[in-house]
Order: sequence, then structure tokens, then C-alpha cells
Amino acid sequence: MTVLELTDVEVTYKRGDGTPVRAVAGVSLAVNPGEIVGLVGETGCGKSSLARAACGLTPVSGGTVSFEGRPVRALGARERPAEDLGLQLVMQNPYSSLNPRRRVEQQVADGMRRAGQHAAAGGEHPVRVPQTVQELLALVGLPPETARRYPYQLSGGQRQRVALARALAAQPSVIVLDEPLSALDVSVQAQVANLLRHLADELRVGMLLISHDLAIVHHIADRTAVMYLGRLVESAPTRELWSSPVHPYSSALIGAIPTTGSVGRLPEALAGEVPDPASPPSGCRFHPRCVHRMDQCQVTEPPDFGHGSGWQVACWLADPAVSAALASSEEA
Amino acid sequence: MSALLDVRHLGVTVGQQGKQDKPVTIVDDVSFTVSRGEVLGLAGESGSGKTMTALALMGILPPHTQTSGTALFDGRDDLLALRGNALRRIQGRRVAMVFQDPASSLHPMLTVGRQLTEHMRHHLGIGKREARERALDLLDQVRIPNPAAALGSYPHQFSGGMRQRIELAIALACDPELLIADEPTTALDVTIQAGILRLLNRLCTERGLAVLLITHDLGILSAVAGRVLVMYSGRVIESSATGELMTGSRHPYTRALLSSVPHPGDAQASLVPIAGTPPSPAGRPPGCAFAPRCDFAEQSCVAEVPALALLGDDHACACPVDPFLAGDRR
Amino acid sequence: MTALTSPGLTPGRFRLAVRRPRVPRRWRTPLMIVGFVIIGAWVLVALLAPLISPANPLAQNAAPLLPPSAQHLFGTDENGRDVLSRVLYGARVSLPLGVILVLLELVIGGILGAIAGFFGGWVDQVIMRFTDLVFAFPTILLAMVVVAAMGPGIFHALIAVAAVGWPVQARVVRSLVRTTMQSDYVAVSRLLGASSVRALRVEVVRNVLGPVVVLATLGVGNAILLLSGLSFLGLGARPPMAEWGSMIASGSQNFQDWWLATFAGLAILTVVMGFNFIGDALRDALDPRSVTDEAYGQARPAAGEAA
Repeated sequence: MTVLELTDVEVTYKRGDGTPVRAVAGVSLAVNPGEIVGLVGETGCGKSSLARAACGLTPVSGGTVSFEGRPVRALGARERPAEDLGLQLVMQNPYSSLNPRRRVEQQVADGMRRAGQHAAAGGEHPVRVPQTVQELLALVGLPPETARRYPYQLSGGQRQRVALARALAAQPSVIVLDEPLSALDVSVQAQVANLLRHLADELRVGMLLISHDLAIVHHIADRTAVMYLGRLVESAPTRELWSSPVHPYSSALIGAIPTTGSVGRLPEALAGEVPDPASPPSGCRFHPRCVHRMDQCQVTEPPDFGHGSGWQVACWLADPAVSAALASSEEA
Repeated sequence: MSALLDVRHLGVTVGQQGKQDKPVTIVDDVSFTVSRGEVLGLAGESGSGKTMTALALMGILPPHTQTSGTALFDGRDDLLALRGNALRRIQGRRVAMVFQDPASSLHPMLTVGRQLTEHMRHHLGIGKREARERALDLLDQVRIPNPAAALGSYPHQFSGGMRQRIELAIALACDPELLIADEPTTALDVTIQAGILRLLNRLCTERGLAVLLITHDLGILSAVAGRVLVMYSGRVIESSATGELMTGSRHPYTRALLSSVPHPGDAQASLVPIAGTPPSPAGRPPGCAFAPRCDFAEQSCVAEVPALALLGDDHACACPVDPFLAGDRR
Repeated sequence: MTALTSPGLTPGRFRLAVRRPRVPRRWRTPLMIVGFVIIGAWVLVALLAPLISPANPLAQNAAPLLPPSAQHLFGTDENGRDVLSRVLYGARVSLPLGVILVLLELVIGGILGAIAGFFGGWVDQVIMRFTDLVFAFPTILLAMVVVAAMGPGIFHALIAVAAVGWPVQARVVRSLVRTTMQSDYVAVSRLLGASSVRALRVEVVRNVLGPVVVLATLGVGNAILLLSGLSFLGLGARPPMAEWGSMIASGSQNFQDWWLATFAGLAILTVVMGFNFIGDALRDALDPRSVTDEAYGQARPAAGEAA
């Protein structure tokens, strides 16, 4: 049973001059309990807009977001309904996501205030998350003294852990994490990444991990989805995606990462720039920059093609008809 | 061929205000050389002193800092001793620097053309038209599309990757011999970064540009650097050819660093973070700065600061214990 | 249930970034101390004026226009009143009225600004445009209108100034409330189940309070200047009230008798300076700790924290 499900989600916002921009143009994905789903994409792909819609912070302009089988209503003037409290968010910037004038313990306790009531009333959660601030801090690897501190006394990595503890205090069954590691030092990223994996495994919390850093996602995500200009181009089990990506953008992304394993290899560059999401290219959104571009790519947007279990690719190359035609033309 | 830049025993200290009178050492006894056409990587995490090293070489250290040692440029001028006009003749002209965040290092109120030409006219003393032509050529070289329109545009009209290219163009405007690049691609998407790295590589091979590339990302250095220096808490703890460092590093810190960053596609299953945090410059422990976090630390490590020992074949390492002598693959 | 701890991380091995400050050093700045000394002294003067002043400020006992002497340290004015006493008693007028004026403006402006910032949308627009309107009103002109209608008097001047002075506070409060309501931590707070009102109460107010206090403190100095200025113009305090502004007014008519205006002027100067010092020092103190400190590795031994 999926704990978070996005179906054809669209998010449109209006720019300053009034032009509508479809930041998210139809994204479907699902997160299961205890699973980490990585969503990777570069600047301008719409992943932050997706993050905010997926956790119910902002409304969707199309499609649905379901949490534990129920549709999620975005935050409005009223208090958030108790049954939605299990869907939480950790934000990118640990310097702005904590109130500088409240102590850590107060902010972590925020999570417990209402969610505790809901859980006690029979909300389902397979593993009980500890309900004291001290235990929550220990869970994320912070010493008890942290509770009385103010955020300015903590480092970026420590603040991010506090944000995590705060989200966990609400007994979430799924957490959306919007670039949680980007603002952290590289050495701290590994620590927090491992922590996320540990929490997902031990507490059976599902996670939607949004990041531009494909390498880190590769280490902790069970499945990975690649986003480009508002759509998912490929989603697959992480190992498989890495070893044999199908979509040209996925391979470009992977090929562009410089690794210490290949000394002297210049990373592959991708031609062109990301188009303006307000006026995306016709047909396949990636076609202007694609080396495998075919005629139909300019005309028709490819649907999702299955490529094996749990593997979807939105590319004409993955169309069995196309590959059959290619094969036969080669033989000829 | 003599080195273009010969840095010996560079040190940077910060004078303390307030109660503490002892100056704090930010960079301690750093020595290296950079030759023409070479990319030298300076690797380290934040707080390792790598940025301060670059600022010292460019003569743009913050106030209340003092430098020691020498940085001989082209066998003649000591960059650390230059002042006034002598410094300005070299800074920006023969030695240029590119910073991490182009959003804050490009002037938001001046057009790109103005920022390029003004810089050139000041240093090269050329006329407006010639400067403009050079500017167009530079923008073309850094692959800015439609350079003529770009000249009249403002920085905010460009994407992050474009801005970084523009900054590179400005740095290259006076045809420098040495480029110091401090985390030039950290703020950029990985595909954009790939483009910038390729560009840097091309500039080195075509123009013989020497580059001091400062970054925490060992992957980047793997791709473009010929040699790498690893810094920790203000000191160089290992230096070698890039390949040798990635596969056969001998310092526990370098090894730990390599294990804590993702290597997609490798058999390594998980990231192993380095426990603890780097010491603050004022709280540096006696002896080896890494000893408190090191799995192999011994008494000799704490007694005195380990010296850089040459391990043969251009590979130096500051670890008296040398636990990886066997040289097993990471 | 056993506490779940994270792998590879021993809580004891953590060192927090900063040692807990005892009395934060940024509160003990010279600026703050000097400011408090000045204002403290004037508050005492205001409270104790009847006890410490050598004469009745309204009594016309002595010869007029006597220069400063042992008997009359600040001399006498054109009506034979002791200037020193008038200066001391002047504090009883200017200080409380300055504070009352600022409080009035804060209440009016603060409430309107908070409503505008909290609700946003058309409520915000309507309130802000109204604020702009009032802001455009020239203070002196309105004071003159009020005086013409109600007659001169320091209290009438107070009302006039408060009526047009609140837009500054309104704008600041509105801006602060708006920015904090849109901050990341308020967003998370709402996701954790807090209502907007609770978010306002728990998250926003404490972030708004600091800058508002600074604004108010600086505002007192300004208020005193303004009220004195109105009195100088004859629109505020009336004779024989001992008020610094009107003392300067009468003193400006003959500059040879320099003591008439000078001491009152110095009084205003020092009081306003004192409030400005406190306000500036408060502003510095309330700034979040600067990050550049740590870039230079300023010594912060982690007292008590494990390495």
C-alpha cells in the first residue's frame, strides 16, 4: 500500500508579468512505507514546486496527491486536518527553516502537539516514534544539551538534524525532503544521508528525497526518478538506472558527474540550456538537446513506456515499435 | 621549465581583536608550484584554509591578516610582498581569479560589456573599439550564445552557468598566465559544471593557461587536475599526481575523505562519514591536526606536527604512521 | 522500547558550535552603557526634580536675564525664573510625553500593520494605501490645524503628532509580520498542524518584537524633538510651562543672553542622543550572531561540551 501517491500532478504559477508557468506538467510517482524514492533534476526542472505540492504546502493545479489513500488538501486558512499530519516536510535551508528565536526543544515539541493526539486516537504507524524531545534528538544523533540551544548556536548539519527530529515528532509515515543536503558541507552530507537511510529502515518511514545530487541519491534511494522541465523522464530502481539508463537525459546526467574512479576523464557536457518552462519545446521536451533525436520526437510527446519491473521511460527510444523498426532497418 | 608560481612556506594568520592576543593561524607552511599549462588541484573541506591561500596569492585578504613566506611569480615578483601599483600590474592582469558565486561577484548594475571592457581598457590601455572586439571574442570563447546581445545585457538576465562563464571571460580578458579558481562550479548544475570543466581544460591546452583549482570535490579534480594537494586545518597533508591520490593515497584523511563521498558505479556500498569535525583554527590540537579523528593515531602524531615526507615519485604525505604503506586499493 | 540511535554517531563526540554565553557580550557594549547612563540620569532628574531643583520653575522671583552665577547656575530668563529649575522640570514634560507619543503611534500603527501583514491580499492593500495617505500629511500643518481648532497646548500637539506619526510603525510592523508569516519555519509550523493564528502568536510575535523595540527606542528621541519643535513654533507648550522647546523659542529672540536657549538645547541634545545610543545598541545586540566570526576561528572553547 503506497503511503504517498502523486497522480498526474500539475503545478502552475503566475510569473510577475502574468504569464502562467507550468512548473510541474504531469508527474506521477508513488512512495511505499520504508522506501526512499529519489527525485533528481537540475535547476528549472520544477522539483521544488513538486516538493511543496507533494507535502500539501501548496495546492496542485491538476492531478491529485494522495496520502495514505486519501486526497490531500493543501494548507489553507484553517488548521491542517489531523489525518494529514503524517505527511511532513524537511526543507533545504537549515538556516531559515528553524525559528531563530525559539529553542530547539520548543520547535521539536511542535511536532508532537497535535500529531500525538492523532496517533493516540488510533492513527496507524508500524513503529512508534519516540515522543520525548530527548529521545527524538538521540534518534537523529544529537546530544541532549542541544534541546536548550537556539539555532544560531548550531551548525548547518546539526540544524538539519533538528529539522528532521521535528518532522519525526509528528509520527510521519512519509517525509518529503526538499534538497536536505545541499546546504551542508560535504563531510556532513554523508552523515545525514546515512541517517536518512537508517531512519527509513528502522522506522519504516517513506521518504521522497528531492535533490540535484545524483551521486548521493544513488547511495541511499531505493528508486530514482529523473525530472526534466516539469516531467519525469525516467524512473527505475536506483542501481539499474545507474548502470544502464535508457533516457538520453538520464545518461547525460550520469555522464556529467565527475568521479574519482575515472581519473582524467572529462565529464560529458550537454549541449544547450534548459528552456523556459513557460514555453517548453514541442513534442518531447528534451528533444532540442538530445543526440538521439528522431523526427517524431519533435512532434509528439512520448508517453511512459515500461522497461521492466518498476521501470518507466518517457522516450520514443523505449517504444518497442521504434526499437523493432530500428532493428529491422539495421538488418536491411 | 621553471615553475610559473613557486609558493614556499606560505602562512596566513588572523590578528585577534578583543581579549585574545595570540594571532590565529589559518594557513600553515604551505608550499607548492604551478607550471604553465598545468592544472593544480587544491582540495579540502571548508575551514581547511584553501580559500585563504588563494586570497593571499591575489593580495585580497580580509583586514587584520598577516602573511608569511614567499610566492614567486614567474621567477621575479613575490606576490605576497607586492603593494600598490606593482601589485595591480599583476593582479587581474597576469594572475586572475574566479570566485564561487557569480551572483555576487559580478556587478549587478553594469552591463556585461562594460564589466569586460572596463577591465581590459584599464589593464591593457586599449581603445573602446578594440576592447569591444576583444570582449566579443572572449564571450565567444566561453561559448556564450549571441555575444553581441550579451554585451548589452545585465548579469541577472543570465543563468548561473552563463554568469560563471562571463566571470571566466572577465578573468581571461587580459590574457592571464595563471588563473586561480575557487570553487568555480560548486553552485552549478552538474551538466553545466561539465561544460565549464571542459572549457577550462581547453584553455589550458590551447593557451597554456596555468590553473590553481580549489575545490572540495575530488571528482572534479580527478577529471581535470594533473596534481592534487590535500589541505586539512591549514596544512598540506598530502600531494601527488591525481591518479596516484585517488587510488593509492597514503594519508588517513585523504582515504577517509575518499570513502565519505559517493562513488556511483563503484562496488562500495555505503558512505563512511568521518567522525567528528575539523578543529577550529584557534583550537588546533598539538601535533597532527587530524589525530583526534584518526583511526591510526599514535603518540608520535600528537608530539609534533608531521612533516611532509617524500614517498618517491612526486608523492608527499605528512603522516608518520603511514598505515597504508602496502598501498591497497581503496 | 529501546532508544534508536544512529549508526556511527556517538552523541558524546559532538561539539556544538558556540559556547553558551553568560551575559552576552554584545549587550555590554559601551554604546549601551553610555546610553543607559544618560537616560537613567534624566529619568532620575525627572522623578526627583521637585527635590533637587533650586527653585520653583514658575516662580518669577529673581531679576530677569541674569547670566549664570552661583545663585542661578543657569541664569534667569526674561521673566526672572530660574533656568536650571526650568531645565530640570522640563524633563518631566518631554520624557513622559515622548514615550507616550511613541506608544500611541505603536499601538495604532502596530495593530494596523499587523493586520495588514497577517491577512495580506486586499486587506493589506486597503490598509497600506490608507497608511500612505496619512503618511503624506505634513505633521506641522496638521499640528497647526489642531491648534487652530482646539487651541495650543502640549497635549493637543501630542494628539496631532500621533495622528500622523503612526504610518512609520505601521509599515515596519506590516513588513516584519509579512516576511515572518512567509518564512520557512512558519510554513513548517503550519504543516505540523498549527493554525495561522497560532503561528502568529508563537512564531511571529517574538521575531517582530525585537525590531519594534529598537524602532520605538529610536522613536522616543524623535518624538521629543518633534514635540519640542512644535513648542518652539508656539504650537505646543504654552507659557509659563517649563518645556525645553518653548525655552529655546524665547531664548532665540535674544542671542546675547545665550543661557536662555543653550541649556535647554543641550538637554534635548543629550536626551535624544541617549535614546539613540540605546536604540542603536539594541539593534546591534538583537542581530543574529554574525557568521563571519567563525570564519576567522575566533576562539570558542567548548566549555563543558565533549570534544
